[in-house]
Amino acid sequence: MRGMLFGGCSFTWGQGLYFYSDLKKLPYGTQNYGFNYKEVNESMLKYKNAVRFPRLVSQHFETFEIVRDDVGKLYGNGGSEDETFMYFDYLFNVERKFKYEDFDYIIIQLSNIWRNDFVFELNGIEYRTKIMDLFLYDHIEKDVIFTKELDEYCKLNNYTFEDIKDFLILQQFKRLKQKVIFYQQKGLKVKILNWLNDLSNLINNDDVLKSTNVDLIYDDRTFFTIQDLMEYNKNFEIEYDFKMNRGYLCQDKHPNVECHKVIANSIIENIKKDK
Amino acid sequence: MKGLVFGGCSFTWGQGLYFYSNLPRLKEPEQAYAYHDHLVKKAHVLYKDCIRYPRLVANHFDTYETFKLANGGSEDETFQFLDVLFHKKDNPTFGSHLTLERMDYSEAEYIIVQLSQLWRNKYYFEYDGYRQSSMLWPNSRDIGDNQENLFSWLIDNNLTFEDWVILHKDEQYKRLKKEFEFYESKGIKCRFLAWENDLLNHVFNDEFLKERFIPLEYNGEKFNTIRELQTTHKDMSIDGDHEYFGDKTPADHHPSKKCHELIAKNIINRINKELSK
Repeated sequence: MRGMLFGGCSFTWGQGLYFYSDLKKLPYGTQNYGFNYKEVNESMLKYKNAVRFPRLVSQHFETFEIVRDDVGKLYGNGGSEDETFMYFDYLFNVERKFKYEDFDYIIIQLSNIWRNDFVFELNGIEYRTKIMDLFLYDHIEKDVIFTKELDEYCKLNNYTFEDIKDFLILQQFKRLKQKVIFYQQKGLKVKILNWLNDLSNLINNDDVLKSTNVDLIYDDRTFFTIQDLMEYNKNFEIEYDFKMNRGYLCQDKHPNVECHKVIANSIIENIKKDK
Repeated sequence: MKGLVFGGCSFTWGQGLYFYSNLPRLKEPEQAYAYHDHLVKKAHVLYKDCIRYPRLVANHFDTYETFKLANGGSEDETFQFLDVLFHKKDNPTFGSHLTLERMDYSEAEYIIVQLSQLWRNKYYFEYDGYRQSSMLWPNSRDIGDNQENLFSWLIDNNLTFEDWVILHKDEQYKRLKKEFEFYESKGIKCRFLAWENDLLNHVFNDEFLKERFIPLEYNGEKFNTIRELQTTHKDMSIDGDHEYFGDKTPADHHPSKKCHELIAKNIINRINKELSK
């Protein structure tokens, strides 16, 4: 098999997995959904790279994985679909160290939809803005949320905030489908994983996207989202796992090592069906 | 387990393993040991990383591996790499051809060195008022780096070429032991395997090194060197791996995928044995 390209947020990056290493100076008390890159050294990064689901999947198929990060750069954590597609574009069209034909699969883990920009046009100018500050992560704290232009746009068109939310969901769905078709036309197989269920109805009602969706299989059950899986087995959350099974506090709500294994196995089984 | 640090030459780097991929743009070198950077693309490099023995060992123990960036090498380069890795934290760009990573001693569980060909290492001597080095091979006495001064130095010191061979081996043996003793004193377990048998007499006469040496076992046979294994089992070299490639194999003498798997298995077995004690 050729390479596998992964896109996603901190769930794909493997935030918190370094807590399962035997390394010293682990930042137990300072993480949670936040992330201070200064406290995570290169050995911790390499460890989490070795046990996160992208590595587990690619190693199963004896090939390499590319994820938006590199040891020494530290910029790969977090993200949204805006960043995922920007990264893919950078990889193929700016950096150009890879060609589409170097990969067999693109695996996209959808993050929190509200991390993406809402795009709208006002007086002939295109604007982009976040519309909610929920679930944002550290390095977009300074992003403008709900600009005066968006306010004006809403007043002009008599749109409510709920309308804008619906529009953003629709924009994300359309962009996702457009990107999936684009990569499929380049000869790549695409798989989609959901952290949350923001797009679940739209994906399930669309033949193209539904066929790319990876259900998570655990305990003879099927889960549509990583969130559902982690609610079903609370031990899959790092913080809960450490508190209940190790007896001490580790402030990190990301998927634990076992959860990454379940995600990896689900992707592996899904890919096997392609053959 | 903490990290696993590997040292070695092209055998550990995984030269030629990209021929096992179905990636496009694969080109064979014109000579079986040759390597041309421009023929090997980033995807090829990443592919061979994932099937070479350092990754296989690290995967087995759910941890990560570290190895130098550059292909090829010798023990000179292996110990330079370790020096950069562990001792150049204050100088992040130093030795960037070897690695950009930095580690603390406490972050490494094992250092596993694959000895390359002894004659790739420099021999240092004082001549003509300053310290110089030479690099040459015993079976090609007139070819090498700075051989004229080395030969003059041998004559001045009433030494024969055969004496120099003994001296050079002795230097390499002492350096290996000294480096291992140093890293062991820092809490990192050191182990090694060998491509060639150049140092094995010294190794087997030294308890410290002998107990850190990993021979290769395959189908009930024991091989002290990768050379011996490849000579006995042709499919342990890429160009002999007809089972995978069919009649036309890539022109590359490096260890085959199967050989990497075998080396990994032997290292894993050794570590497992130590962990179970």
